[in-house]
Amino acid sequence: MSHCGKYGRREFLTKTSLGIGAMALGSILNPLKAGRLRSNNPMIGPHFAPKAKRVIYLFQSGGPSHMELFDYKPLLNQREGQDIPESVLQGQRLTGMSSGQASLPLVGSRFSFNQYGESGMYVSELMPYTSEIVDELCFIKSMHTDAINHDPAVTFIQTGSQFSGRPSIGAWTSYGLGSDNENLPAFVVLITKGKQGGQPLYARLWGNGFLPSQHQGVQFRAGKNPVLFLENPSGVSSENRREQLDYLNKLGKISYDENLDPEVLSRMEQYEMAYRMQTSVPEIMDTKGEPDYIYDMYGEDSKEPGTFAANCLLARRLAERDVKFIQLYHQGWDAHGGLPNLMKRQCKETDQASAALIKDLKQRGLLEDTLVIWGGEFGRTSYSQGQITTDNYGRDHHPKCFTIYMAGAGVKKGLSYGTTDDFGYNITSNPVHVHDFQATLMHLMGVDHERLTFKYQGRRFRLTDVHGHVVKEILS
Amino acid sequence: MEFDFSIFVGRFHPLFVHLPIGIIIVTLVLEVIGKAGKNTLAWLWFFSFATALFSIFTGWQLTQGSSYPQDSLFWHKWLGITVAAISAVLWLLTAFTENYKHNATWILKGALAIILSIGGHIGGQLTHGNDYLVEAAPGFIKNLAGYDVPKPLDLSNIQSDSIVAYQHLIYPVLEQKCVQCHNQKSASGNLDMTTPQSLMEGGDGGEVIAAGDASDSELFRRVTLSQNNIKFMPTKGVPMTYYEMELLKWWLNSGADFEAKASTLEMSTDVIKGIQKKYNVDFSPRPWYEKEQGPKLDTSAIEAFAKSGFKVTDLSGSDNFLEIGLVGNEVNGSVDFGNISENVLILDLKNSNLEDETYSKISSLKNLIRLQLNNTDTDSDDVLKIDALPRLESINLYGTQIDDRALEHLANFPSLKRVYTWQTNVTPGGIAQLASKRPDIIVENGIN
Repeated sequence: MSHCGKYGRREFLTKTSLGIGAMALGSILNPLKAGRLRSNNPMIGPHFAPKAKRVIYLFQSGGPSHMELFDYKPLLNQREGQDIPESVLQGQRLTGMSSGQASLPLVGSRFSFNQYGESGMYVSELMPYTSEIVDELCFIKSMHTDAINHDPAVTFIQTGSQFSGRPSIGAWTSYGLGSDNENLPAFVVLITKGKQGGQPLYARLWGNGFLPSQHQGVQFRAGKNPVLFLENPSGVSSENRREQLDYLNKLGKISYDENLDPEVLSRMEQYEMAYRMQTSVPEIMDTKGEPDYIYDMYGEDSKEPGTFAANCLLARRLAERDVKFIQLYHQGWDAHGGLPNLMKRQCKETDQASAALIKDLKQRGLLEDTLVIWGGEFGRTSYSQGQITTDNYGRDHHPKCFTIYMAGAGVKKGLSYGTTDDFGYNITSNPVHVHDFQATLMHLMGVDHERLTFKYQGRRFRLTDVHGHVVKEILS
Repeated sequence: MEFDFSIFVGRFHPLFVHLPIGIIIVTLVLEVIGKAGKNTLAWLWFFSFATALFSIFTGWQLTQGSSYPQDSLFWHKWLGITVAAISAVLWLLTAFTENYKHNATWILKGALAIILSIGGHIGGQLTHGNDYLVEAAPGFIKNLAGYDVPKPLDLSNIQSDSIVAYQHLIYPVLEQKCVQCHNQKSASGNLDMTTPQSLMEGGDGGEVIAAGDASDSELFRRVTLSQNNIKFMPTKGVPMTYYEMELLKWWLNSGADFEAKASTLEMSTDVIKGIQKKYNVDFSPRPWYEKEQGPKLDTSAIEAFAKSGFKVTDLSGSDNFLEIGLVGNEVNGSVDFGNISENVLILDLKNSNLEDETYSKISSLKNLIRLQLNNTDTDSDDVLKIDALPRLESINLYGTQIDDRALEHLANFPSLKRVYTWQTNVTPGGIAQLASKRPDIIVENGIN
């Protein structure tokens, strides 16, 4: 690029057509926005007053069965063993895992349901702690997606496209709204340790796609090095590091003045962030100061780093420090067979801590401007994959309906939105597509999903592509 | 419904009326074919006449105390009587003269066919409504008949504050449920509901609208009667839904103003829900800060303020409201909100050390909706320094030194909805006392 002077073609066009004009206009109109432009973030800030300042997304990877957890379908027990009627199936595309089965026998939940709270919400016995807080929750029982396999479905709900390469929701919010904490990334990812068997997760799920790289999610790990390669090499003191960075910044500045490549500034920013994180991250990860009753609340697992419970506790600590988007992943919900035992294990790992997180946020006043989301990438079939026995059956992937819940900032409490048919197979009212969910999530953060765009390869991209309607009925 | 002989008999009219119609058609066909003998034809004309008479009798009973449109009823009645009369003449001619095949009788028979058709059709309209047939007809017949398909009103292009309550929300309901019978052409009970003027005039029973009082309005009373009641409206088709009745009640109770904008009338949650369900327009109350703009931002004041260690962010791109937080844990020197005091909506001072005078400065933040003082050294004396902020909705005092005296003071904050008191010296007694004084405030006191 250097042979054509200071500007690359693309930078030149951006700077002259939009950049300078916008910068000048911005500084006349509003000093806050001028400041944002100076920090190389073309962010517009929220379009309207946000209800949620931060999001904690408890992603349940693998597709939790809605029929064993929240969507009570007694008919499946009554008609157990009978084939699913063709009028319900409606020629739905099945995965290769069950499409070859001679029969598709309906199977009912082995777990009983009860109504809880003033809202009278049905919750399965697998979720004793969640059932205590149903009046705080807003269930969406009519979620549906386009994908039928894990990777495209997770990629779809995380980035708005089944193909990889688009920015994750957290990256979009970081790009659009910036960070409220100078010492921590705006988008932090926590993954439950030791659940990596089965369906894998890839870093691109929390990637920045085509957005500037500082907006990607940063994974915090359990153990000695929470963020890989963050520590100084042995023998390098913090002072040495500072000195080194100062010189590096001078070089970076010279380089930027030469060719005006914004990625240089991005890189400088990330070095500085990493330096600050050398103190802020150990401080976050050190939960020794948490009192025993907090550990009791989150459950016995919470003392062991890397568990879902420990990550929920960390999520609260990150929320307290105004990290904008905190995403947890918990794998292992993919119950093709051995469903009852699998569900028991998964719920034991997640139920108490999820409920504790919501209660803990509430008593600290954080639930007021924090949105908590619990859910996976799709639901499961009402027919069994494989043989049904008294204590064993399985369920295949099902994109046509699944249940998620939200709690906190800006959503109604004790609401169940949308319904499915008596088979838990098709949606009968108020469908919420993945793009609608994403639009609603952005809306709660004060962003009009149609206006937060990024121009790349000749067109303006957005999280919801050309789709998505805000589900106003669930907004408080 | 109480037993009433005339109503009971009257309701057989639509059944019996088909006897003369059938017999007359059969007789006419036989006359044209010419196969039937004199006696047979005479008997048939006699039966036509007799059943027509009986139909007239039952029809007459049916009109007693009913509210069929006068105009149509007049024609139906007299055409029916004409049918009976012609049948009688034909019977007499056939039975007692030899001229029953005279050419002149064919004029009578032709007229009878036409009158029978027209009278029958009007009768059908009286029972089923004017548009009963065209409604279901193919498009070209609708065009021929000049019938406009009533389109569901699309309100999505109208700004919600330009929606006129009657025109956009009430009349579409009336049009769907009432206007079929109560229009200019056929005003059942002499009530025409198509224009505000004619609606206000009322019908045979007097005025139907009592402005400001739904329960006193005949219009509302009739649609909310028991469905078994003879006066229940609409007499045919689908009754009004719950939300449609709610809308009607709302409009009547709020003065039955034909011009008023919906947004200027007070709405209950059911009315908001009903409008949302029926018209997909959201009238749910928006918080004031989404409607107001706030005073113009003083940019130099913001810059000066930011220098004293504050992080200033604007709450949205479309108004002038600000959120203020601290960059570190310390406030540099004394805080002076100065010119931006009415722009501040959220003040977040958590985890910091605050000077005593800061608290009284907070009193100048008239538009503050949320105040976060959690994990500061705030005590009740500090809280007492803050005047009752008119718009404050939430105050977070968890992890502070406050006690019940602070709660007592907070009871004076008119808009307050949530107080966070976990890990303070607040007692259950203090919370109960606040609850008795201000049941609208939720105190979140944590897990222990």
